[in-house]
Amino acid sequence: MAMESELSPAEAVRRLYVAHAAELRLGAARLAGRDLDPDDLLQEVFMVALRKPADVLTADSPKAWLYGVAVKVAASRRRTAKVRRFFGLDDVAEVASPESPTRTMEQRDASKRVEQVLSKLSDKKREVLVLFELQGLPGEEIAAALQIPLKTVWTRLFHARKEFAAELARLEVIEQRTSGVTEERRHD
Amino acid sequence: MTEPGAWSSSSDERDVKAARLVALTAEIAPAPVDLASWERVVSASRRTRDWRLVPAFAAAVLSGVLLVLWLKPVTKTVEVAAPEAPVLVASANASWAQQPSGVVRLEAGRLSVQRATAGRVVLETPHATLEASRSRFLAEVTAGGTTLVVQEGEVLLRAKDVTRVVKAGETLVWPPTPSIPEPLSQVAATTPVCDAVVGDRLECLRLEAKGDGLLAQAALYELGVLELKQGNRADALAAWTTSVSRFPAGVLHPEVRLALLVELTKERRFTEALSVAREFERVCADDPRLGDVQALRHSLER
Repeated sequence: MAMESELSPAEAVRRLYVAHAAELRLGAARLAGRDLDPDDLLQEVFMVALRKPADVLTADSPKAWLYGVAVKVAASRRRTAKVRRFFGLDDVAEVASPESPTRTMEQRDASKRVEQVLSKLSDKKREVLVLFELQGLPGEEIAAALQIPLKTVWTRLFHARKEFAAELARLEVIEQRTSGVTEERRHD
Repeated sequence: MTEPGAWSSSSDERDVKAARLVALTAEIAPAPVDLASWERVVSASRRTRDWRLVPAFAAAVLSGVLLVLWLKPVTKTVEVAAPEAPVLVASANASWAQQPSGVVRLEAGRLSVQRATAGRVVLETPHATLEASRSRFLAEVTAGGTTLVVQEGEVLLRAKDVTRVVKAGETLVWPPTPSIPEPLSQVAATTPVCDAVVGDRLECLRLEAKGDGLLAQAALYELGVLELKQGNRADALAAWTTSVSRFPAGVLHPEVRLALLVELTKERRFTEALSVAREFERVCADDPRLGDVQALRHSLER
């Protein structure tokens, strides 16, 4: 941070951009959902950072601060998208994937399924699960990003995991029923 | 709550499956970001409000308001004809006046409202206030009270603490005649006078009344009773008035005073009846009918 203090605020934020942009872009996309443009989300997060450079640069963890903004931006965009869908104004444009093109087929399928299950969770559980399990943030940084106690992070994570597993199992049962393939037939 | 253990180490098969799926997803590296996009972020954050839009916005709002005003249904002012004034017709001997407030004050005589209009009529008499609209009625004021005859519609009569609605076809006299206690209406037995007269007993009594003493007192009382029986209330009242003035402390003066009180009340000459009642109470303080007289006086005073 001593080095950053010698830089102009804009340059310090730019360095944060260089360091965390790719990761934040992916995280924001996972928080907001696949239909929203990850570049737009990323831009909005750093626009906030540029408007409040003192806040981000003096934070204990600038990365956690940026994730905190990303969570709020994603939630806001999700709400707006919901309203637009309700009024039939949703125009889903082709958006660039925030995931590496080098991902395997298995990873791509897994990512789609995770996204599908995450969309069934409440915002609070979804946020904690994405930040901890997918983005790999430690509990302390998640607590800082979401401005909640650490214990609350663990409680939410516990319930989010349970719900995620139950929802995944439910989806698989539904898919089996609709596809007509049952365990008994497989045995036959 | 402390940090939960690794998801994949759970004993629940569903948890293990979910953890494996999430771990696969988490292994996906983020796509690289073109660092040139930073410039777009900087320029977007510098973008300020376009103040040229303010007048455009104001113009749009103004247009909207004008459009709403233009589309707003116009409420036409409908000329409402003033209610036609009622036609008041007073009798020749009526004493009445119309006050600036429009209230008509009728002191005596007869006044009739001859056209049922929407205009409100307020008529004050010494005894009550009459209010009406869309009604035809007749009011007559005498010393005894106000007589109201409603021909069409209805009239509201207000007195001290009473309100009555008089409808078409009804007649009301206000104040009402007080009920007369039964003991006061009984005819007293007197010394027989002219009882044996076969012809004109009335003439006999008139002759006897001109005399003096007990017979004359009895004759005057009986003369009043007989005149009343024959429907001549005025002559009866005259006979008893003469009796009281000639024999104010005579043998029959309580009976004569009571007869006067009763008939004056029936005649609705309440002021005179009150005077007779008060005189009776003064000079016949020991009379057993004093309580009834006092009750009647109270009714008259009301």
